[in-house]
Amino acid sequence: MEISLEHLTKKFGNVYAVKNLNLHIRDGEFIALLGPSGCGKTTTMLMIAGIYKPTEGFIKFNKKVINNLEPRDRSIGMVFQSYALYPHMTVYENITFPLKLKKVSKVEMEKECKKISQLLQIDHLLNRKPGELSGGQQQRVALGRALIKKPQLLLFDEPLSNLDARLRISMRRFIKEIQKEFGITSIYVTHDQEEAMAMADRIAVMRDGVLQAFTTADRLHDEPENIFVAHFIGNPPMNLIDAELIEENGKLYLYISRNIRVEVPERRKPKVFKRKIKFGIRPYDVEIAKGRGIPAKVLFVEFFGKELLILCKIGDKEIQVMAHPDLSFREGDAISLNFKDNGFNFFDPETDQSLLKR
Amino acid sequence: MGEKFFKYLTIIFLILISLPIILGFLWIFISTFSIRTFGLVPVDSTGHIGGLTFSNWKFLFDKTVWIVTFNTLILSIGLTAGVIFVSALAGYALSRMNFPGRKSILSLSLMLHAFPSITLLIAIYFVLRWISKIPVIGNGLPVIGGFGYDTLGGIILVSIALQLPLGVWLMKGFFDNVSWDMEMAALIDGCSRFRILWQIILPQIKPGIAALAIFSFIQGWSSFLIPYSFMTSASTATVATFLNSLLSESAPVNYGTLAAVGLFQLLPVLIFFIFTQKYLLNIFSGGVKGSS
Repeated sequence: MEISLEHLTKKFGNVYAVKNLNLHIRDGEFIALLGPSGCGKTTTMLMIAGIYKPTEGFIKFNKKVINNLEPRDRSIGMVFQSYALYPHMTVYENITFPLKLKKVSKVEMEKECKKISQLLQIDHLLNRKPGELSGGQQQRVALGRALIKKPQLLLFDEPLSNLDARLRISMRRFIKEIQKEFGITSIYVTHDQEEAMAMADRIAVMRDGVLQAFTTADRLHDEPENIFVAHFIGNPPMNLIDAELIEENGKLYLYISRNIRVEVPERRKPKVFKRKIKFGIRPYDVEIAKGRGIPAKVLFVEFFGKELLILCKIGDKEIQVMAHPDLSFREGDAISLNFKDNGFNFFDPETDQSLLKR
Repeated sequence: MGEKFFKYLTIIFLILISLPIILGFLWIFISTFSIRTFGLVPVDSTGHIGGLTFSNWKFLFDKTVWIVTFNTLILSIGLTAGVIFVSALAGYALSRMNFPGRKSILSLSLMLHAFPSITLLIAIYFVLRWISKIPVIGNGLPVIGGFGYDTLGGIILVSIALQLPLGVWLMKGFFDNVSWDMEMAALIDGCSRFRILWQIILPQIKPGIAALAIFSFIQGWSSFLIPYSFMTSASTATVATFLNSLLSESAPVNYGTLAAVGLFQLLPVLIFFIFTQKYLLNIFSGGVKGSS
């Protein structure tokens, strides 16, 4: 199912929870709504589900406005963070509840439930109550309940947040596989960027109810739309340095510090020229150069996963750099750095917008 | 050793403070089967140990006691049903919906709860007299007589009203504990609002309903002031007023009979309690939390 959100706005009292949101989701696409808590991502999802009514704007399913359609008529399935299983019913009753409400025959119900529960590997648990299941099993039951009515749209509201790290990764793959197999358009709300990156075809980053960027994980990494996205996406976060751009002899130079300049590669030149800019580069887009490079001084070294995260100083600016753990550094060492060509990002310090885009 | 010592100390302390209550019940039990008692010891008219008798239970052959028992039962059941019905619906609305006046209803009902009901007696009298004037509903209904003055229905109505603040607050608290997610899930699954309340939410708060039912039933069973004030024939209204009428007769009080009627009133509550205490304990062990 194709989904369009047009100028979607939700106000609670005088507070905007979602502000003028425009989003177009293609049929069969898996998208993630990503953002810090309170950014409006859950509100957006609940509007799509029909629990909240939008204050302004339209929600369209297959080009038809469905703002006033009841949740049950929207042919959606939803999985909640708290699983939201009915504790007084068995797993079987939980899964078949949507069918029971549709007055589907008992035989049909049993057949469907068998199919779904085998797929989700919960067919041995059908007679248990949700309270007797582990978190992962409960989440599979919740997924089964969402899938059994063959929805055209699946909504996930941080479904893996209550699971432990290892289970989260296997469930992540599991959900993705099921989504692919059924080809259901899916919207996945999360505050965990790794989860969003791993699962979603495209990611919508939100902040304070406003859409910041809506694109693939790669593009969010390489060419973030603005400073917020640049800083929010990626771990460790992108270095953001106050710097100047100066044109000399037809070449564009980035002055990081008074005497330290780097030539900006042709394809990363900003579309709009500005002298004072914020220069952004990700720690893993900085290399330790063997020979000549940008002179820097090591300030602090720490382990980051299985790599080293080195805090360096270039002139009077600080920058974080990832390095191979075999290299050994000590505080005070002089090293030289190299920026990878596609790591260059420039932002307007006043509007926070990327200068690569316009 | 210290831990064990402390445990025994606690038990001894608890026994000591509950001793007056236990002795009281013991006295009632012994008195009902004796002519007179000397302390806890049954004695006969000459003061020697003995004098056991069933004569105190003679009142069971009197028709009045069965009428008042029946009345009290109707009152208790009516009160329980009314309180549960209104509290559950009101509690759900107050917990889940946002409407103008929600806050004031909550605070006003709490204030009402703090009011001693005795201060309202005269006002209630006028209200009941006014209801009496309404045909049929006033005093022309079977079993409960109607909802006006000097009817069982009137007493039920007043008792429900006085019990409601507690009931509504208790129910609201239980509804607050049921997660919104579950309600949203049910909405998406295709439930109507009413069906959600009936099939999804009410089963979650069964312990709360049970507790409120027990409280209300006991309240109705032992209620005295309201039936005493609004039934003209108070001695034949409820067990409590009947008990009172035994005390206030000009003849010397027969404590044996008094104790027997008291025990008679106590028994249903005890039996009721035994069957429902599982639910009462449920409340204190955390209400609803995921598991059933």
